[in-house]
Amino acid sequence: MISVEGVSKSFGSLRALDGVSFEVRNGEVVGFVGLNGAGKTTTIRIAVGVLPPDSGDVLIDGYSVTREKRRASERVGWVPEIPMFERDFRALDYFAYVAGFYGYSRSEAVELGRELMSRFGLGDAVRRKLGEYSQGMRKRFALALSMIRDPPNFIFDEVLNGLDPQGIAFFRQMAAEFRRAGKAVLFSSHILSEVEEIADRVVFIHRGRIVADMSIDEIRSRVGRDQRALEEFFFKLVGVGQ
Amino acid sequence: MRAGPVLYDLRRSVLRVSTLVLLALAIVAGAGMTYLLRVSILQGGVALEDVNFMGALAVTEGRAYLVGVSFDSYGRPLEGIRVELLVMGRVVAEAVSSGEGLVVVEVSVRKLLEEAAAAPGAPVAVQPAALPVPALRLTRGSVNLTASATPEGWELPGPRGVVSFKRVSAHVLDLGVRPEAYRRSLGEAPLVYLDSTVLKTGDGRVVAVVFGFSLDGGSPRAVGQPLCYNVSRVAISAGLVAMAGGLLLEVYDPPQVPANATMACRGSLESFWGRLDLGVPEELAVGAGARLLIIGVGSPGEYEYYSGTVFTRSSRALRAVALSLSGSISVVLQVFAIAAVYLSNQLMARPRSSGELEFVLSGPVTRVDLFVCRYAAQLMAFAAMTAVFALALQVFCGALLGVSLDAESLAYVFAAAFLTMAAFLSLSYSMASSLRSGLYMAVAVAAYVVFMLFWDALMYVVGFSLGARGYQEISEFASRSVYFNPRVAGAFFAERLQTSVLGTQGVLDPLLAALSIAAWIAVPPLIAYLRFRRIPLYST
Repeated sequence: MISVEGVSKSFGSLRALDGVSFEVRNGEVVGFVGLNGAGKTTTIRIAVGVLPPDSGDVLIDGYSVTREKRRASERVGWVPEIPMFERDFRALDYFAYVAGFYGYSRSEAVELGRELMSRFGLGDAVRRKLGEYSQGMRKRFALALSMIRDPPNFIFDEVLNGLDPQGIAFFRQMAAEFRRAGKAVLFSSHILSEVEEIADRVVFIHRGRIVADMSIDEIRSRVGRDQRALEEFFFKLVGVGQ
Repeated sequence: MRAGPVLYDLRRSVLRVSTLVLLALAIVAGAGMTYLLRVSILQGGVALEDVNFMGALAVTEGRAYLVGVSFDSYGRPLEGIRVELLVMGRVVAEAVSSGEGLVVVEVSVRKLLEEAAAAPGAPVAVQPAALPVPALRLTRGSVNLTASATPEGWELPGPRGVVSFKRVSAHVLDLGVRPEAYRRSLGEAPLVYLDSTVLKTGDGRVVAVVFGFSLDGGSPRAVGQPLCYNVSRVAISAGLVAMAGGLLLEVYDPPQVPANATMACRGSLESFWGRLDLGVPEELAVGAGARLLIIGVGSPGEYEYYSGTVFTRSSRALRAVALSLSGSISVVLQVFAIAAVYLSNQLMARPRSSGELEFVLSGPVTRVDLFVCRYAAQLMAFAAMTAVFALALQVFCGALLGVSLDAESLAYVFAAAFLTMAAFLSLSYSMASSLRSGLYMAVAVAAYVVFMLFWDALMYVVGFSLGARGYQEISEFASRSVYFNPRVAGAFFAERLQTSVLGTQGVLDPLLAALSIAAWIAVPPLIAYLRFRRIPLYST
């Protein structure tokens, strides 16, 4: 379970997050929707422990990402919108390097790396340098890295951006699989229709504040399945014109 | 913190083409320094340190025996020294010293005479009475020393800068009733020759090397092992006779105490005579350089001996080595510092600027883990590079100079290079973790130029503007200013090396130097981490 508790963050005079709180329960896919610059990625960066909050905290299965970083991070996987890896690494070496932080020996890590990369369609690219990977490959590789300890929580940040239809289908399918496996999944997007098909619940964020937290059934009961109506509902929520 | 990622970063630090090229450059610099030193030694006529030989030539029953011992400037036996006997420039016999430094060369008198007769310009017949005393050639590695024979022993020519040897003692022992201690040590050997030398070691100790052999049954055999005594701190007592103005000290039985000799205590030897106290006249203070001390007991007998010691003075050769090491350390540090700037960029500034560290941090890693991990990897890389450099220096010194650096000198070289690099790495890594890659490179290069290239010149200007006048005053100001430079460790340990070898007085205070080194290594990363723990790691 992922619990975001009163998280605030400022960059200089810009208040990026202001008391953001919500939860993602086990076996649930939660869409995290907001316009560009609303605070989705900042929230997620704080949730995965790569950015310290000014105040508030995020608990991963009860472990604080600020005070119990190692334990919390072992329990959450993350696929960012544009994964950045050290480009001069070969993929399998990088996998072994990251797996080293989880306590794997080189040989164990290589074996696991081959298995996971093969599972996510990168079996032919294990020896290639990461600088040669396409955006889709980098996202799959990030997923493979996130699966090192098969964590019970997952966060996908705008993961469908820039993917071809096959890639989009792959990540949607992964989210559904994770839900079936009882994992808590947070799936962010700036397009409501992208998450509508897979989310059980949607959290709306605008200008660093949570403006709504509704189940997908509740949303459908208001606007039906019409895409146009869905968009209008979203814009109305965040208080901007289409 | 896990060891695996540190080792990965270490491997990435070392196994880069650029790092390997810099390492090769450092090794080449070390080799070049050693080669230049060899050239200067050979062309300048400076003999090599560490090749000392003490021995005697005995001629008896148609055979000639050279028995001796080779040892270094610390009095330690040297193995593998080739000793050749030369008559009219031709080798007539040779032997290599054993693990105990012992050398026994045997040749027939007939052969000596034949070689002498065969030489160009020799008389038609050489009489046994005109037996040539062979010259000695000592070889270590690719370098050799030749001592020519004189009626009194062997002597290295003065212009080569080597202390010349004079035959100083030749005695046959006939002690009559032998003391109990003598019998315990040497058995009933009827003839014993005892020779000794006293020298000052690189660290200022005074060492006596005592060597004895017997001619029991006509062929020489070593009596016991060569003995090395540290005689630096033992009190003197009566029992010595000093020959004023010379280097010869002889012990007689009963002892005759000179009336007006002023003796400086240099210690004592535990020998089969009991304790022998050693001293030299004040005007021949041992601290001024190596001295020769010969102890003889008994009266001359019927055997003919030529004895002597070939040894070098701890002056120009060691001075050249010490100065060269200081110079080569400085050059190598300039190369390694480039590596520090480069590696800090590759492992911290560049990935941090481009957001490549962010994903690593999403794993079970804290910021302090990440910060320390990459710093530790670079430190280990520099420790490895410094060790390779020190090893290369040792190998090249052995191959080109025939000299092995002692552990203390190597420790100074390693400490100077490694601690300086640790300090400079702390500075560059701290900047790399705080600044974006482009700005980091600009600032780091500026720091390199100031601290590594132009510091002395800058400090001369600063010293002058602060009121220092005269070369001595400004120079001392510049020397002391190194406390404010990451090179403080290099300067301090190079100074210690020179103090150890040359006995010069350093200007740097050990306590201040230690504080400065610790501050340079610890403070910049601490300050940098306080910033690193809060800054965003993604690319903007």
